[in-house]
Amino acid sequence: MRTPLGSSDYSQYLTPILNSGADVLILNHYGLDMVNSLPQAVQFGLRDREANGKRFEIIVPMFSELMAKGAGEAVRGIIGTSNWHWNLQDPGSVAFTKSFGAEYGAPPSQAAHTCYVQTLLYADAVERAGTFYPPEVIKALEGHEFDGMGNGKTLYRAEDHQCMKSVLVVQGNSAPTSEFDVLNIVQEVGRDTTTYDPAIFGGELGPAEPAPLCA
Amino acid sequence: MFEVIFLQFLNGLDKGAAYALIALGLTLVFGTLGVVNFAHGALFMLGAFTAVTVRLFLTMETVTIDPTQLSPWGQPLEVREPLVQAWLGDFGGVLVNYSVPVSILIAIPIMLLIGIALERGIIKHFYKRPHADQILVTFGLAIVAQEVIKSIYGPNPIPQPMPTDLRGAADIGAWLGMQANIITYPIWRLIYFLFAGIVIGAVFAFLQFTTFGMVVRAGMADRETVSILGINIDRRFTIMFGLAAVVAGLAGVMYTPLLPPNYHIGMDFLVLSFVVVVVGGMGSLPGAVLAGFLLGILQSFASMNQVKAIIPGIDQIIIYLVAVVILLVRPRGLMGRRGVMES
Repeated sequence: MRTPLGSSDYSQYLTPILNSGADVLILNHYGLDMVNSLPQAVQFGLRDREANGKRFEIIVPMFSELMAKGAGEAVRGIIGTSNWHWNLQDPGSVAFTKSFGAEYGAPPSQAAHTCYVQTLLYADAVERAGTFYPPEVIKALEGHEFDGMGNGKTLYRAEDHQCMKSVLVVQGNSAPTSEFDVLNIVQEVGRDTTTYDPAIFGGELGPAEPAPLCA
Repeated sequence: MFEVIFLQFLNGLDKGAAYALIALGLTLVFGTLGVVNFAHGALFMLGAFTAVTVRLFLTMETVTIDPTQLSPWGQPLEVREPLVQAWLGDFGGVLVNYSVPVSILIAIPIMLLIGIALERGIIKHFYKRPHADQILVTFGLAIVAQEVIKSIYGPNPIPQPMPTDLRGAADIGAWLGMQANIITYPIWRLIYFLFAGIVIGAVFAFLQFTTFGMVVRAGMADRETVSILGINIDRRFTIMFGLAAVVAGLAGVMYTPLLPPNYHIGMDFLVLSFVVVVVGGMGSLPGAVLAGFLLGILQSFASMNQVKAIIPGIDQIIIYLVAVVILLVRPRGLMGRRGVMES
């Protein structure tokens, strides 16, 4: 079922799902779209429904704390994936959560973690390349493997520029103790499982040289 | 197949009721004051944020910091105690649970005041100016209202839970003697549908059966003659603007559990309510209601995969397509009157 981006009412897309015979709804929405669509899906009873003799499940493939907060009580029990969570116990994550909490009085979201890590990685790539010139920085990142950012050994695959790392399965917290305690880690899925053949999606990366600036 | 079509039809009625309710206030203002009110969406948004504010007050907490315990991110633990429950006991809990319906009572006087203040303060000075000026000033007002709300409440949506008893879906199929769990629909959407019906009915009854409403209708038909008869029609129109603000605000309050409100929520409905008003006929109240239901039902059916397989993307354009066709066939809209916006 395709929905337009930026919709506010998803009811007309949810009613056909009710008796479609499906037992899983993969709600591939991000940001405000998910904040709007997930509570509506729950209101339609999809979280508490049975289909084909099984419990109906709503899956949100791209979960973030901010979205979970916006969707309110609708996230309780909903399963999804996330790239990082402040409750990870590796030394890098613990240190980042502590220093972020001391500065802002709240644990970092996965988006805050991404921004911080990306900045470090870019700085590192520029240092290794010895230049800010993008094609050289790209080369420094292609096939680059690092560790310590909370996801175990992580690889920027050269073939398709995708980031290969472990992924978290998270679930909306049924009994949150604070406004930050919205998601629980259910499982950490290792890089061996999440890595896929780059040929599946394929595609040309195109030239590394920057497009000429307009005069 | 029957249940699929029945559900889409029900959904269309539900959407249509919301569209009609939102468009009602807009056409009320246009029909009486002749002003194209682009701030109507902002009034919807202000209504929604009345509910947010009421809930904020009802869920006030005392925060004590316990330095002996640390949060997982290394800060002293904050211990929060709800205030209203502490004061009022169980009744406080009921108030918090029913914060959205409670907000309706509070939103009525607030929206009435906001509406009257807007009309007396700004819009009154634009009656004799061209429509373009009216559009600019009301659109400006909408932007100001949005930015004020954004600066107070931040840009992120703030979820408003519905009362626990009214969550989930009702088994309409079972009510009608059919198999259970086939035709189910969210309880709150059914309530919104009923609520829209009651508000629309009340506005019609007010205009049709009260002396005040009769004078207003006379003023809509011929403002000058009514004034010559010694009636202060301006004051009545001011109250009508206030009433339109109340209708928009209540639509907003009741919509908050369906859509977590942020400062931009009104803009999403503004364009839509204009299409409803134009299709129904500028200034026609029955037209707005009819067009609301028509567009709601069409949009619901156009979103089915079976329909989209024939015409891809039809769900995104159906409303505008219908508007174009109707304006070509009936340039005044479904129930538009001669002489409105045609001087």
